[in-house]
Amino acid sequence: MAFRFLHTSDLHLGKPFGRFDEAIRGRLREARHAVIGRLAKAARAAEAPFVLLAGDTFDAETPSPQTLAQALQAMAQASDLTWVLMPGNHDSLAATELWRRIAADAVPNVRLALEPEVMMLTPDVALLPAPCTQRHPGRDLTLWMDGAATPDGCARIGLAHGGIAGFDGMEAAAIIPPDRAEQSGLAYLGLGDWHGQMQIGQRTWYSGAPEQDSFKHAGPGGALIVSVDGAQCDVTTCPIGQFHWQSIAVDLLPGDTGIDQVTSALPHPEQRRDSLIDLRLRGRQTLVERAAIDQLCARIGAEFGAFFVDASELQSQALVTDLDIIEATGALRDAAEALMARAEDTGATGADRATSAAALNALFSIMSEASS
Amino acid sequence: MKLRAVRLENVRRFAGKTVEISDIGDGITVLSAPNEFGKSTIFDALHAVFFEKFSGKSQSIKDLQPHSGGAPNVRVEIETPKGRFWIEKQWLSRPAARVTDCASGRLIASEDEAEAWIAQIVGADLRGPTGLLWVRQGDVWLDPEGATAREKSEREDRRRVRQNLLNSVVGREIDMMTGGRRMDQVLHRVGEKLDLLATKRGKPKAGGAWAVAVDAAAALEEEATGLRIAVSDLRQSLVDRHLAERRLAELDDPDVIAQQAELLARAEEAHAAAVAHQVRADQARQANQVAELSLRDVQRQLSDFDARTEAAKAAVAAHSDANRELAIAREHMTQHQAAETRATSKRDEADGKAKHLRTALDKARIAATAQAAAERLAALRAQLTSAETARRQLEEAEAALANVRITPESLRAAEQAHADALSARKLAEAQGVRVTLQYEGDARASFEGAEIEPDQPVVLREPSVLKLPGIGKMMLEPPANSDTSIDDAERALRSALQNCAAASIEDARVALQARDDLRARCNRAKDVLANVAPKGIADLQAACAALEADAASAGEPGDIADLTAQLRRADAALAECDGALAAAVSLARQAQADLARAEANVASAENAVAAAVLPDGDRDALARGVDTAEAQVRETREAVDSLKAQAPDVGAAEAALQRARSVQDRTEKERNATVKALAELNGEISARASRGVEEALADVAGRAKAAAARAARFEGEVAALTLLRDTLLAARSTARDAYFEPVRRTLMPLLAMVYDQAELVMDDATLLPSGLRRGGQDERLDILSGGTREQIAILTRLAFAALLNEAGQPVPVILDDALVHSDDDRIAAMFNALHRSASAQQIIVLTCRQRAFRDLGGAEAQVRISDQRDVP
Repeated sequence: MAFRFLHTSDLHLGKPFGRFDEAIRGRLREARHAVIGRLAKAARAAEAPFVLLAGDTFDAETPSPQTLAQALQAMAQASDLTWVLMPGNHDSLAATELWRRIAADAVPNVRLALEPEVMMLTPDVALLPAPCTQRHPGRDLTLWMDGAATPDGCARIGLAHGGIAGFDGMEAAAIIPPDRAEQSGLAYLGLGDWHGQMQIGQRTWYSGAPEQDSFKHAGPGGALIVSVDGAQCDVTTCPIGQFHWQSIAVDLLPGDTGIDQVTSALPHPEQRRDSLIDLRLRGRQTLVERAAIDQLCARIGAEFGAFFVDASELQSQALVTDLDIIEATGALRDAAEALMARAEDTGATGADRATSAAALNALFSIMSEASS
Repeated sequence: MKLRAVRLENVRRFAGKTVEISDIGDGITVLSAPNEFGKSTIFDALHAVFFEKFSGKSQSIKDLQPHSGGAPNVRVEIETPKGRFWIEKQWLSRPAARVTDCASGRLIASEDEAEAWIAQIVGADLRGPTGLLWVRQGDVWLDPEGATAREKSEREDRRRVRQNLLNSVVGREIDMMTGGRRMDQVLHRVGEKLDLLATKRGKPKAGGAWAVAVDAAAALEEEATGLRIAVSDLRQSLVDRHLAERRLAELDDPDVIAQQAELLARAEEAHAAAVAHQVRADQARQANQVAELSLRDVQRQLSDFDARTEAAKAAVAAHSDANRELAIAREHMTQHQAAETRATSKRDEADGKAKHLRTALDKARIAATAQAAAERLAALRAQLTSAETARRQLEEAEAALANVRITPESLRAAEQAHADALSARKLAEAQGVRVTLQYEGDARASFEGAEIEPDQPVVLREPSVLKLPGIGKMMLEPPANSDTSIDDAERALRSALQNCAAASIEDARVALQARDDLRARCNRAKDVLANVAPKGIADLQAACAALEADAASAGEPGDIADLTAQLRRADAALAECDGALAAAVSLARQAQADLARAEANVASAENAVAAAVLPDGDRDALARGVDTAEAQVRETREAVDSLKAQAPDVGAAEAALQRARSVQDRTEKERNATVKALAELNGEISARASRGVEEALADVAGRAKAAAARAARFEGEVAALTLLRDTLLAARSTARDAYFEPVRRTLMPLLAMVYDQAELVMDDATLLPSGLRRGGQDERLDILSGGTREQIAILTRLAFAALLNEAGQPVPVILDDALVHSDDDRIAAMFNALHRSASAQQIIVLTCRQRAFRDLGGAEAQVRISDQRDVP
C-alpha cells in the first residue's frame, strides 16, 4: 500500500522582512505563519498523514518565543497529522537552544529528526534524515544513507537539506550527489534549501518554499504530495503560497508604448494586493515616454503589496520634440541639451550619467507640470 | 544723424535774442561757458526740437518761453546720409514744425508730417535712443531713480529703448535667450524641491525626508550593531554551553569515574603496605637499640671492673709519687726562700747606695745653686754700688747745675759785650796816653795808689796823675774825648758777666765749660743708672736681698755630673735587684704553692689509697656477657638492614595517594563548576533567546538597509536637482553673456581706459550695468562713489551710442555739465574714452568748468548771440 506524505521545506518562520514597509512586513510575517495551516489543509486534502519538513523551518537559530510557540501550536492543532522536523542550515543542530526548546515542549504530533539514523514512520516506511549539523557542514550528510540498514521491504525515504552538486545556481558548497536516491536505495529523496520547486532526478525533488520570501524564484510557493509504493514514487505539486513575488523585466525602446508594456507585464488588478513586484526597466525611452512610465509607476505602485522599480538600466533619450516641450530655444533648452549630452557621455561614470539623466527627467517633469 | 548747427530765438533767458551755434563738426565739440550763460537752455531747446511736439503745451515747453513771453523758436541743422536738413519748431504762439532741405531750401515736411519725419530720424518714437544718450545737467545716472509715476514711466521707456536696441543688435529678446520667467519658475521649483531635502550646502536638511532617512538608517544601524553584539553573545553562550555539556559528559563518563576510583584504591593499598613495613622496620630498629644498650651496659661493667682495679694500683703509685714530689717541693721551697733573702739584702744594699747618691746629688745641686746665687749677688751688689755712685754723681751734678746761671746765650751776650768793651777800650787806648815805665832803681811809680809795673804800658784816657816817688807827680792830660762809649761798654760787659755769674769773660767761659761738663756728668750718670739699674735701685736692692738667703746657705758644691752618672748606675743596679727580688719572690711563692699542692696531693693520694678498694666478682663472666651482647646487636642490626633494604617509598605512596585523591577532588570541583556554569549559561541563553535577538537583528538590519537605500535615493535626487539647478544657472548665465555681448564688446575697451582689469555685470531686468567686477569681486554700482557711477553711466551711454551707430541710427551724444564728480586722473581717462568714441561718434559737451575741460580738446563751439532783429 502506498505511503503518502507532504514534502515541504524552507518555511523560514519568523523571517522579519525588515527592508519592506511596515504594512507589508506584517502581512508577510503573518503569511509565513499561516502557511502551516495551509500545508495541513493540503496534506489532508491529499490524504497524506505525514508532513516532512526538509530543513529551515525556522529562519533563525533562536527564533523569538512567539515564533516558536505559535508554530508549534499551529502544528499541534493539526493533530491528525504528524510533523517531522529536520534541521536545515538556518536551524541546524548547532541551534541547540531551538531544538532543546522544541523537545521540551514535546508536542505529541511533532517528531524531530535530529540524528542521522533510521526513523520508522510506519512499520513499512523508514525515514533516513540527514539533519544539518552546522550552518555550513562542509560534508555530504547524506552519505550515511548508503549503508543504513532498514527492515526488509521497508520503503526508504531520504530527507536532506543543501545543494546538489553540479547544478547551476546552487551554492558552491553544494555536495549532495544528484543520484543519492539511487545510490542509497531510496524510494524518494526530499530536499530542502532551494526555495524554488525543482525535480533533480526521478526520485529526487526540491519541494521549494511554500511561501516565497524573495524575488529569486518566480511564482507563488508550493509543496509536493509524494506517494511512495515500495521503490516507486509519485510526486504531484500543490500550490500553497499566498504572496506572489515577481521580478519583472521590461525592455523598452523609443516608440514603444512603455505604459502598455509595463501594464501588461504586471499582474491583474485583483492579484496585485498579494503581489510583490520588482520591476526592472531597461533600454531607452524618450523623455515623454519616461515621464509617462514614471507617472504610471507612481500611480499603481500602491496597489501592490510591494512595488520596486529599478530604472537604472533605462536610459532617457531626448528627442527634439521632447526638448521642444522644455523650450525650443534659449537657456532652458541649452541646459536640457547639456544634461542630455552628459547623460549620453560614454566617457563619464555610470553614476554621473545617471545623475545627469535624472536631472534631465526632473527638468522635463517640472516643465510638464508647469505646462499642465 | 549729426548736428551741424543750432539756432534759438526767444528761448527762456535769451528773450528777444538769437543764439546761434554753427559749424558743429564730427567728433567732439565743446561749449565751455560760465554759469548762467544758458547752456542748459540750449540743451533743453535741442531736446525740445527732437522730443516735444510743436503743438505741445507741457511744462517743459512753457519753461522754454521767456518771462517776457513770445514764441520760443528753435532750429537745428542736421546731417543724415540723405543730406542736410533744417528742422525748425515754434511753440505756443503760432506753433509750427518744418523740415527743410538745406541744399535746395525745399520744404520737406511741415507740422505733423515734420514731426513724423523727425521721429523717423531719431528713432521709433519721441522717447527714442536720444534719451539714453543725452545727459542733462545733474542727471548723473543712466535712469531716473525716483519713485514717481513719471520717473517710473521714464525708466520703463528707457529700458524699452535699450531692449529694442539690444534686441535689434542681438537679433533675439533677452527672455528668449535666458528663459525669462519660465527659467525663473523652473529654478524656483528646483529650489523648492531641493529646499525640502537639502541645506544650502547640500547636506541633509533637518526635518527633511532625506535627513529623516539618513537619521533612521544611522539609528537602525546603531540598533543593529547592538543586536549583533547580543546575537554574538548568544552564539558564544551557545558554544560555551555546548562545550560545558560535553565536558560534563566527559566528567560523568562511568569509565573515567571507575578508573579514578581504581587509581585511588590502588594508591590507598600501596600506602597502607608502606606504612605497615615502616612499623616493622621501627620495631626492628628498637630491638637493635635495646641490644646495643645491653652491650654498652656489660661493656661498661667490664671496663668499670678493670678501671677500679687499675685505680687501686694507681692510687698506691700516686701516693708514692706524691710523697716524692712533696720532698722535692720542700727542697725547692728552702732554696727559693734563701734566694729571696739574698735578693732582698742585695736590693737593700743597692737601694741604700742609690739613696746616698741621691742625697749627695741633692746637696751638690743645692750648693751649686747657692754658689750661683752668691755670684749673682756679688754682681748685683757691684751694680748697686755703681748705681748708687752714679745716683750720687747725678745728684751732685744736678745740684751744681742748679747753681750755674750761665747759659750759652748769656755767654754769647757776654762775649759780644766783651768784644764791644775791647773795641771800646782799644778805641780809648788809641785815643789815650800810653805810658810805659822802665825803672832803674827800686822806686816805683804809682797811679791811683797802685804801682805801675815796669815795661807794662798803661793807657790813660783821662787826665791822670802819676805819682813818681822821688820825683813827684807827673800830670798827664790825654787829649780830651768822651769816655761815655767805653763806660757803656764796660757797663754792658759787667751786666753781661753778671748775667753769667762771672767776674770776667774768661770766668764766664770757664763757667760755661763747667756747666757743659756738669751736664755731661749728669748724662753719664743717667746712662750708668739706666744700664745697671734699669728698674731702679730699689729693685736691685730687693734682688740683692732675695739672693742673700740663697747665697748664705752655700756649701761645697760637688761634681754633679759624676754624681748623676753614679746615681743612674745605682738606680739601674737597684732596678736589677728589684727584678731579681721579684723573681725570687715569685719562685718562692711558686715553690710554696708547689709545696702546698704536693702536700695536698699526698693527702689526696693517701685518701685515694685509703679509698681504693679492689672490686669483687668474676671478670671472665663479665667478658662473656659482653660477647653475648655483641652477638645480639649483630643479629638485630642485620634484621634492621634487611627491613631497610626492602622498605617501600612511603613518600611516593603518599604522593600517589594524594594525586589520586586530588584527581577525584578536582573532577568533583570541575563538575560542580561546570554544572553551575551550565545553569548560568542556560539562564543567559534563555534570556537572550526569549528576546528573539536574531529575528530582531534580521528585522533591524533589513530596515537599516532599506533606510540606507532610501537615503541613497534621496541623495541621488538631491544630486540630480543640484546638477539641474547648476546647469540651468550656467545656461542662463551663458545666455545672458551672449545677450549682453554687444554691450560688452563696445563697453569693454572704454572701460579698460578708465579701470584696470574691470568688467561690468549686466542686469537682466534693467539691461544696465548693476555692478562692477574687479579682481573677481562684484561691487554693486549703487554703493560705489558718485564719480565712479557717473563715469560708468557716460561710458555705458557711449557704448549704447556705438550700438546705435552699428544699428544705422547714429545719434549725437550730448553731455551737459557731466563729469562733475570725477577727479583729475579719472577725468583725463574719461577724456581719452570720449576721444576714442568720438572717432565714430559726434559728441557735444556743454560745460561750465572751463579750466577742467580745457584739456578735453576737440573743437570749440562758436556761439553767437545777437538781437533777434539782427538775424536775417
